[in-house]
Amino acid sequence: MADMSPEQVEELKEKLKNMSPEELREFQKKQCIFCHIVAGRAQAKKVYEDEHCIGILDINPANPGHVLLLPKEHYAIMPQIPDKEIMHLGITAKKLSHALLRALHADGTNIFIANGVVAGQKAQHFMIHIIPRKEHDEVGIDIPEKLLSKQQLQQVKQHILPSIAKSLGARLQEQPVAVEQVSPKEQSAVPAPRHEPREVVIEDTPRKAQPKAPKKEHPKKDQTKDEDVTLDDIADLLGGS
Amino acid sequence: MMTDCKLCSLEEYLKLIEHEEITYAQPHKPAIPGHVLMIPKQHVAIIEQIPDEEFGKMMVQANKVSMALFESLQAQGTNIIIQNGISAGQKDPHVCVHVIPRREEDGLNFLWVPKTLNEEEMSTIELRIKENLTVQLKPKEVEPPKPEKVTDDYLLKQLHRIP
Repeated sequence: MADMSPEQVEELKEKLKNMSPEELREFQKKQCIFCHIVAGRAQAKKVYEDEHCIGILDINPANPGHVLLLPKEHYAIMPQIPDKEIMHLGITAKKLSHALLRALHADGTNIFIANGVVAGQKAQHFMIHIIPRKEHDEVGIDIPEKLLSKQQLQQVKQHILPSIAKSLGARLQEQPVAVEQVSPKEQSAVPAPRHEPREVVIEDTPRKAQPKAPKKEHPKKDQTKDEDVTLDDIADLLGGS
Repeated sequence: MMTDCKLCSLEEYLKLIEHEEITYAQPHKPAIPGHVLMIPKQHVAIIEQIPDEEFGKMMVQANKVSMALFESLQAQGTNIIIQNGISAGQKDPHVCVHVIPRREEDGLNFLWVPKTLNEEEMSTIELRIKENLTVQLKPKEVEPPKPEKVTDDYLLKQLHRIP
């Protein structure tokens, strides 16, 4: 894509705009190296395969034995995948994790999913990383910890719980609102995650030089007003390179 | 329920909701506001102890939580992370799935520095993993492996050091 002239880019953009969702999916598949691997048109060290998914060795592993579990169907991010397929991927990930513990005498495993470029997703094909771990291997998937006050946690809860309950199909037994009504301004202070430097600093080397969606400059928006950002926008962002 | 397990005796204010076999909670010290923990109600130390179906369902629900974070926080991305074993970063001897909302420049970074392996090393690893996958997993290509007897003891040994 880097070699295209501005005219060609424009032309491509126009073409993409006019595609139906089915055509767009087909187009993405053609561009996707992992779809080529699934189809056997590109080389990979395949350690597992069934009807729905394949497991291959990552060529840029966090540790030796790092497996990428991919659905055969092209999905950019997890929210696009039907539950049944996630279920199957989950069960397979667990089996692969067990196999890594045994085969490589690992002390542990990380199961890692990134949805979206900001989360560290490098390819446009959804995948689950299964990474064998040994003590002091310096892989650096550490989750930093930040102390929030009870009140801050309460505010976050108020903000996210209704969506979580709805999404799970669970009924809220009690009203989540325990503290007094928070004004929108105060609320926006909570979910806007701006942080001071973390305690754990991880080396910031890019893992692969794979083409990915260009980092678009997002104007800093007031999140409470930013109601119109939907999953589709996220999917578009991912699919739009 | 293990009384000395922090995740079994979670403080009320951290809990979000209980649904089916899972408690959804916020960590005492989240990576970022909106960080959600999924904790099986039953005390299990590592994912190998969870029945397949149940684990698959947990991933389905992790996706639902992730979708809820996209929606409620207008997150631009999410990470779903399981630390299985202390060397994988597990802090408590109780399985827990982290769902973390992400935005640009949020100060988080879970990416690793890639290691370089030569072709031979890669092939050796490929072979060893294939050999260890059970007959059920690969009915067609793999010879029936002689499964190493892996007992829960073996897998749990590593967890004994978790405080």
